[in-house]
Amino acid sequence: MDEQPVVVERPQRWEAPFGDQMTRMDVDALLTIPPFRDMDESRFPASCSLRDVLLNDARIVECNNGDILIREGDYGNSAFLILDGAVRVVLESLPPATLGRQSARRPGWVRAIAQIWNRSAAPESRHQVRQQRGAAASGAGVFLQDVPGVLDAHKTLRLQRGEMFGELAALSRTPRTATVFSDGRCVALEIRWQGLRDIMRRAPEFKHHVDKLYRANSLATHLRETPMLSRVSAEALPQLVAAAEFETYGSFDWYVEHSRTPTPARLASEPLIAAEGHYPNGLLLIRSGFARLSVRQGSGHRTLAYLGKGQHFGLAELTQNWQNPAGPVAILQSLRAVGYVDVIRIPTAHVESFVLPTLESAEIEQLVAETRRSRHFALAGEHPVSSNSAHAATTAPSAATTLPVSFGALGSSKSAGSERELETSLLEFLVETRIMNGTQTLVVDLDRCTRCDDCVRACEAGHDGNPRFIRTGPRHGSFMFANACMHCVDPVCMIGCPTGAIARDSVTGNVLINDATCIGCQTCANSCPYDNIQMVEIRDPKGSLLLDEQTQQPILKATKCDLCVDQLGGPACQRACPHDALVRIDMQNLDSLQAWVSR
Amino acid sequence: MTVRSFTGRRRCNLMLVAVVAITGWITLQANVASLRPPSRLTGWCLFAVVLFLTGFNVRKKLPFLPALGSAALWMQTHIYLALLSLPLFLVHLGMRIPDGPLETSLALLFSIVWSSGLYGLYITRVIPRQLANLQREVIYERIPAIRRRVSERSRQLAMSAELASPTIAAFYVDRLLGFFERPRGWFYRVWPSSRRQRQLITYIRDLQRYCSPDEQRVAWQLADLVREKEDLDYHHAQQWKLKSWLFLHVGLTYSLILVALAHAVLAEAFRGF
Repeated sequence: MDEQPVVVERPQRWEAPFGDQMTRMDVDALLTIPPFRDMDESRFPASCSLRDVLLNDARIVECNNGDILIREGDYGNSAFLILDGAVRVVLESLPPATLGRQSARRPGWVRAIAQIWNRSAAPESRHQVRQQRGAAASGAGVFLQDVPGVLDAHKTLRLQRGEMFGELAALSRTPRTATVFSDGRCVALEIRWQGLRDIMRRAPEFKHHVDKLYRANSLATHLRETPMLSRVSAEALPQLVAAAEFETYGSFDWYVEHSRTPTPARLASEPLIAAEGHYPNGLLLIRSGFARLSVRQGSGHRTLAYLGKGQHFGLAELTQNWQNPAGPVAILQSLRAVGYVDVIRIPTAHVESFVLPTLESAEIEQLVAETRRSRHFALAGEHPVSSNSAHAATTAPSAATTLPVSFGALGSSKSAGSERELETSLLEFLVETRIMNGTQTLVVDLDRCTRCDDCVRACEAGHDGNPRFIRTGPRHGSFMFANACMHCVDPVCMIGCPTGAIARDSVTGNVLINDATCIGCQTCANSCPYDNIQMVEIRDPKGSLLLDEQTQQPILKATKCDLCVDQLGGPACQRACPHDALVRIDMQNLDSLQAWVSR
Repeated sequence: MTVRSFTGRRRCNLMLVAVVAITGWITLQANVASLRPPSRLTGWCLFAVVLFLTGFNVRKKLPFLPALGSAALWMQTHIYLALLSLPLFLVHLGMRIPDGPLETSLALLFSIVWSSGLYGLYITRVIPRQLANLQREVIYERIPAIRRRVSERSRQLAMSAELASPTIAAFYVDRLLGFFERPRGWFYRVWPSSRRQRQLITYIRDLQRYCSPDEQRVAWQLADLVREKEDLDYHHAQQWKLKSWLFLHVGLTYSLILVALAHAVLAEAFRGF
């Protein structure tokens, strides 16, 4: 290996612009139309001018009739502004085949075996430091085969010139909520979210406009998708939409304060959404983020569960009060924002008028029974959790006073005998450390792990000799949550990335780093609350360290677990453990964790 | 994700082993009834079993081929097949002690490898729990660097100019310096014991009566470092045991295969008809 360093030019933010075809004439034209016309260019710094943002973080997309701009369920990183023509937003789900979904590309077994001989001699060697101009990935160009058929069979909404769409998913790091296709010929400006973020930061009127769109569109869509509102009549739904309030708690960049706040103080610093003992003034639906469900215990609060997207709070109490107005109950648990959370509140009067009458009598009885049990156990000092609301924990370990709790709406079974108990201290740990954010959390059972490092070697084998995780991390009892990217529900690492190098894969939703466009700014590594992203010094194929020609410092690239995206069979670490000591678990499904923990 | 309990899996595997054993026994009886020498059949079966067991090491080198099955599946197969190999071996021997240098060496090698496997099964179940009981988790390769930091920290505490305590400094040199600076002996690696740690903590406790409040505080900090060093040494000893056992077990297996191959060639050449 050659030890002499090599000096190169450090990669810069806009070396790989979003669209190669954008010209300064295009930017000039954009600046003559709203909303850009009304923006004050002097608010933008010279290093990040409005012109530069439009030139490098936006591109003009021309579509023919039926071309799909956004597919429902995809993870997108851009928003669209219609410059000319119109698009249709499909208000129902289309079949995957219609949307031309691609399955993830994996290598064949021959190429997989050939890795043994093709391994680089030097660690972290790269054949290219930067992405070549013109090599930016473009969409596969999918279009609807039968536009009239889709229009006949599905409800759609027409958007015209000057209207914006896609900002919701781009800004909130969530999947696209609808499919959008071109209605006739259409020209749109696609802005990747980094540019959107920079514009919103400098142009408050644009931010206000996007926020208004965000609230209006997300509200209508979310209510439509909520199971308990599925039986609400078509006439009543708009009334719910009109009455519902959209609330946000916590901070979008919660991770900054999280690492500074000592663990015992975190609960106290979490914004209170609903307080135990207060009047239930509405049904709360979690739109995104996480919320902690807790009850008072001694001088503190004990976490019972955490709620995630799609779950609700307060239905049992509202049902009880509706059935027995003479003997109302207060809210039985407190709800706090963990990080940040978007909540939709439907006022009590509307819930009683439009939602509760649509419930089956068996459902009503179950909800009322839950409140009775909760009040009974609250008097006895125990606190069961409403069965339909949460990722739940046990109460006290004593069998005599413990009410077994079934898990919440996300994929758990509620049949008799399927109830499981997760240790409260483990649940508290998951919420305190925010590990419940993970969808592919690497958990190691230290009682079975022989520290053989076969998992690390397997990871190394699939990444050209460079392991992408460290077999160490926070511990709870005999379980360790290793420093391997958890591919979070809310990947805060993506927030500050200037180039979009770290982004969600559009098919799998996994968070991946594009090595060629990473400029080594360390924003993602510093943002990750779990220290799961490592910055590495890169070398050329001969092994020479690559240095920045200006600063003479080694060029860095961000690296992390990519779930072996370009390998056969997915994450190799789990398959490589001979002692069943390692697993990748989705923390949104605590049934799996509980089953694994209590093997 | 379907998770099976270990008890359920064990039950299932034992049933499978019983079925294989019965099938093997029936096959053997049929072989005997046909007046063919059973040692040929059992010998080749045993050789195939040993080769298959060695295949586990190859599987570990190919983690990116999911079609080969998970390492956990291979481990279960390895354990139960290895357990079955003992009766097969005894049947092959004809329940007698082998004679001749080659057969004796082969029998000895097989016995050692088999016993080491059993020992490995034991320590891979026991040692992880012992390590998990410790407060901190350490990666083996990082232990020397962490040890150096602990040693450096202890020296700084004891020789602190701010404290300027001849009592602490003298105690450190007399009692603690060797513990922090020198590696633990080979006996500790094989049989780690907390006796030394308890002894040093007792010395520190005894020292308190001669110390000022500041010195007492430093003495207890040294006690914490003693515990930390002990944990590191324990981690080192136990993880070393696991790694070196595997090294020995795999290494001896290759010797076993070579000698078995030689035996097979000679046995075939001189078997008669």
